Amino acid sequence: MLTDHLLSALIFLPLVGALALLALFPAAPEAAAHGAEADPHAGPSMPGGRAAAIRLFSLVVSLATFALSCVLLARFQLKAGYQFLETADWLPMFGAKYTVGVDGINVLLVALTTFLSVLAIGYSFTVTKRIKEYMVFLLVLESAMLGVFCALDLILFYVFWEAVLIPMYFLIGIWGHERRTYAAVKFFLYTFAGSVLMLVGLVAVIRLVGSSDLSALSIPGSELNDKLQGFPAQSLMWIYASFALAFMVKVPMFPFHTWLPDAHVEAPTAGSVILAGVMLKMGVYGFMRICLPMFPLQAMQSSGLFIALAVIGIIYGAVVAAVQPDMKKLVAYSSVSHLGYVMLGVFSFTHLGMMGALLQSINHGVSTGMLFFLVGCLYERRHTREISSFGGLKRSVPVLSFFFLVAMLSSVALPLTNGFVGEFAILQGSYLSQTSGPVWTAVAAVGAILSAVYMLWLFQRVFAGPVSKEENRTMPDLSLREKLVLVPLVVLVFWFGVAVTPWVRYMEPTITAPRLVRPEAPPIEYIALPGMDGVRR
Amino acid sequence: MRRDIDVMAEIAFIYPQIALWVGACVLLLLARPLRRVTLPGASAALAGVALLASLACLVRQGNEGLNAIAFGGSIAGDPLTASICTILLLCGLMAVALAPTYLAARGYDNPEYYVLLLTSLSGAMLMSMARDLVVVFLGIELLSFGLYIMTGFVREDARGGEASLKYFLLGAFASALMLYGIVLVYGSSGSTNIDVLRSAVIKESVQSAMFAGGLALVLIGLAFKAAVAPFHQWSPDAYEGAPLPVTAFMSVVAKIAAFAVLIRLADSLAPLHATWLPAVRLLAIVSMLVGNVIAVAQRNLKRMLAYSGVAHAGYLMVAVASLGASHAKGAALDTQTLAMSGAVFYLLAYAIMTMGAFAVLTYITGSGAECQTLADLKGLARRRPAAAYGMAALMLSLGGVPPTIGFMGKLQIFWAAVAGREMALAVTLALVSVVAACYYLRVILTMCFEETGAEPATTSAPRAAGWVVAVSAAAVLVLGMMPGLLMGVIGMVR
Repeated sequence: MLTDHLLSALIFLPLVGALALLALFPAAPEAAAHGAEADPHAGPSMPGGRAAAIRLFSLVVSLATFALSCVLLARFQLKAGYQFLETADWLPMFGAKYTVGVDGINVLLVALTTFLSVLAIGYSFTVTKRIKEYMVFLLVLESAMLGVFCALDLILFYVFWEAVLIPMYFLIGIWGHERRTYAAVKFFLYTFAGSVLMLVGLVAVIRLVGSSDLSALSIPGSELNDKLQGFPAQSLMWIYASFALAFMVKVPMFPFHTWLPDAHVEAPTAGSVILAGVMLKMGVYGFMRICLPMFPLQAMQSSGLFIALAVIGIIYGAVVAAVQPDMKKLVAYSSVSHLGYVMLGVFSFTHLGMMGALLQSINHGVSTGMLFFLVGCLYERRHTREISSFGGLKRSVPVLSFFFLVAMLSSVALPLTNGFVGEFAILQGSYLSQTSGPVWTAVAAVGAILSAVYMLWLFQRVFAGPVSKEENRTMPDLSLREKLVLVPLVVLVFWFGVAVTPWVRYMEPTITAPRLVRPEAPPIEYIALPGMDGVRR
Repeated sequence: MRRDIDVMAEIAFIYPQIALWVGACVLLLLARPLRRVTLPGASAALAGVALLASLACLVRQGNEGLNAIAFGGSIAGDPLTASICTILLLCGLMAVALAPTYLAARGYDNPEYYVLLLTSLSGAMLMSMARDLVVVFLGIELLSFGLYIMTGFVREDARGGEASLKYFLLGAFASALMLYGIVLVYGSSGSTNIDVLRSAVIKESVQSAMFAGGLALVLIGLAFKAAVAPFHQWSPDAYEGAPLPVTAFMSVVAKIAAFAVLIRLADSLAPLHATWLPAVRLLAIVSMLVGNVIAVAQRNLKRMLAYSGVAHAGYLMVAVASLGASHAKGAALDTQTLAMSGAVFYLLAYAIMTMGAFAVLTYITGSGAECQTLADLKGLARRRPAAAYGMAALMLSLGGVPPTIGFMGKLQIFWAAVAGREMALAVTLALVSVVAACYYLRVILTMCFEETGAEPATTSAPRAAGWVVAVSAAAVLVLGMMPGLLMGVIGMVR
C-alpha cells in the first residue's frame, strides 16, 4: 500500500502540511497583527507559543517527508527503468495523465530536496516575521519541487515547473533583504519568460507523437521516442531549442545567469539554500530527463555551443566571484561556476561525465547550501554581508569557522570531500569525450584553480588574521540548533568524499542503461566507468 | 416549410429566460415596498432567487435543451448554448452578491438595479441562443441598454455619468454598424439565419464582396462589445467610471455573450475562412499586444483590468482563429472541438478570475470610498491576509501561471492554436504572457511585499463579497489542478 502510493504521499505531504498549518493556526486578530508587525525586524510578532507551535509543526511535516524519502531510497531497486510508478487520469481533454515515478536520475534529487527542506525549515526558526505564511510557502515549495523531479508526464512536469516560481516569488519578496522586490520580480519574470516558449514546444511534441507520457518519451528506443525521432530534424531542432532555453535559464548557463545573483543575494537564507541547492538542479534534470533522451541528435549537434557556454560560465563565474565585496554574492557567482561544470559533464555525452554531473548536482546542493547557511549565520549576527566588515573570526567564533572551512574545502573540490569526486568525474568524462575533449577540459580545469583562489581568499579575509573589528570580538558562536543544521551537511561532505560508491550505485544502472544516449547518433561514444570494465575507447 | 410546431416545447426551451423576466417583473412590482424595507439585500436576494430558478430550469432541460429549435429556427439549443448560459447565470449570481453593500452605502440599493441586471443577463443569454443575426442584434441591445444605465446608476457620480454616456454613444455606433452589416448580409444572401447562411456558404452561392463587407461589419460590432482592440477604446473609461459591481458584471457578461456569437459564427461560417481568418488573426495579435502593453502602464486597477480584458479577448480570438484554421487545413474534427471547448473553458476561467478580482476590490471597498488604485492595496496582506492571498491566486490565474484555471484555459487555447498550426499566434500568446505577468505580479507585490499601507478602513467587510472572493479563489486553484471536474459541463461543446 505504502509502496503503491509512496511518491504521491511524498509529493503531497508538504502541501497537506501547509494546508493544515492554515487550518490549525487561523489568522491572528487583525488589530494585534497590525500593531505588532510594523517593523520587519522587530521581535516576535505573535505570542511565542503559537510561533513555536507553527515552527515545530512545519519541522515535523518536513521530517516526515524526509522519512518517506528515506523509505524511497531504501526500497529503491538498483536497476534501470522507472520504479514506484503511479498513474491516474488527469486531463482527459489532452489525454494527459498524472504519472510519477523515479529512476536513478531523480531518486537522489528527491532525497536531496527533502533533506535540504528539513534543514531550511530547521534553520528558519529565527524568522519571526509572518512565520505562518513563511512556513506555508516553504512547504508548498517543497511539494512543487518534488513534483518537478517526479513528474513523468510532460504537462504535469510543466505545471510543477512553473508552480515552483510562486512560493519562491513570495519568499524572496516578503522575507528577502533590501532589494527584495526587484529581485523577486526579476527572478519570476526571467524564469517565466524562459519557460513560456517551452510550453509551445511541449504542446508541439504532444501533438506530434500524440502522447504526453514522459515515462515512455524519455526512454530512447521506446515506441513513442522513435516516433518523435521520425519527424523532420528542423522542427525537432526548434522544439529542442524551446526546451533547452527554459533549462538554460534555470541552470543558469552563461549568458542567462543574470537573475541568479540578485535572487540568491536578496532571498532569505533558507530561500537561497533551496534556490541553489535544489532549484538550479531542476534545469540540469530537465536536460538529462528531456533534452538528451528526446532530442539526442539535436543535443549532439548543439553540444559545441553548450560546452563553450559551460566553460565560459565556469571561468566567468569564478572570476566575477573573486571580486565580490559581498559574501553572499560571491557564493552566488560560485554557483554559476559550479553549474558550468555540471553542464560540461552533461554535454560530454559520456557515462562518467553524466554521473559526475549528477553527483556534482547533489554535492553543490550540500556544499553551497552549507555556505549559504553559514553566510546567513554571519548575517544574523552582524546584519551585514560585506567581507570587509569581518576579519579574524576564527578567534571569536571557532566552531563557525570550522564549519566554514569544511564547506569551503568541499566547494573548492579538495580530495576527500564530495566536491572532488564530482568534479573529477566530470573532468575525466569531459576529457575522454569527443564532444568536449582535452582542450575544453583543460580550460575548465583552470576554473578549479580559480575557485580555490576566490574561496581561500574569502576565508582568509573573513576568518584568518587578527580580529579587525571590535564588534566581531563578542560575536556569539553557533547555537545548538545551527550546529544541528550543519552537522548532517558535514557528514555528507565526507561521506560522498570518501565512500561515494553506495550513492553511485543508485544512478549507475540508469545512466549506463543501453541507449540512454542513442547509438545511431554517430559521434556518440560510450565510455564506461573506470574500475568496472576498464576505460574503453 | 411548415412543420408541426409544439408551442409548449418551444416555450419550455426559453424557461430559463422566462424565469429571469418573471424575477424582473416581480422586482418591479414590489419596488415600492422593497424600497421601504430596511432589510439590506432584500432585492438582491429576490434577484438571486430568480437566477437560481433560471439555473434550475436550465439544468432540468438537460438533453432536451440541447437539440431544441424554437421560434422558426431563430433560436436553438446546443451544448455551446447550454454551457454559455450556465456561465452567464453563475456570473449573474456573483454580480448580485457584490452589489448590495456597495450600492446601499451610496443610497442606491434599489430594486431597479437588479431589474436591469436580470434583463441584461437575459439579453446575453439570448445572444448565445440566437441562430439568426437579427436575434443576435436584439440580444445585444437588450444586454447593452441595461449596461448603459447600470454604468451611470450612481447618479451623483460625475465619472459614472461620463462613462455611461461614452459607453452609450460608442455602443450605439457599434450597434448601428452591426445592423448595417446584417442588412448587407441579408441583401447579398437573402437570409439572416445563420444555418441558412452556412448552407449557402457551403454551396458557394454567396461569394460577393457585399457579403464579405456585411460580415466584416458584424465582426466589428461584436469586437466592440467584446472589447477587442482596436475597438476597445470605450472599455477603460467605462470600467473606471462604472460602480465596482457594475464593472464586474459588464466586464465578463458582455465579453462572454459576444464571444458566444463569435464562436458560433466562426464555426458555422468556417468554410468561408479564407474571407474572415486573416481579419481574426490580425485582431487577435493586435488585441494581445495592445491590451498587455498598455495594461503595464496602468496604476488604476479598474483600467488595468480593462486592458487585461482586451488582452484576454485577444487570447479568445486566437481560439476563434484556430477554429477556422483547423477547418482550413483540413485538420481532424477533434481539433475544431478542442478550439471550441477551449474557448468556452477560457470564457469560464475569465469569468471566475475577473469576477473574483473585482469581488476583492468590492470586498475591500466595503461601504467606504471605492478602492481602485494600486495604492489602495498597499500592505493588504497584513490588513486582510485572506483577501490578499485570494487576490494573489486570481492574479496568478489571470497571468496564466500554473496551477490555476487561467493556465489550464491558456493551455487549451495553445493546444488549439498548435493543432491548427497557427504557430505565430501560439508564440505571440506565449510571449505576451510574460508582459502580462509584469502587471499582475505588481498587484501581488503591492499587496504582499509592501510593509506599510493605508490604514484599514473602519467599515466592516461585506460578507457576500467575501464569499465571492473565497469561492472564486478556491475555484481558480481547484479547477486549475483538476480541470477534469468541468468536463461534464463543457467537455463536448460541439
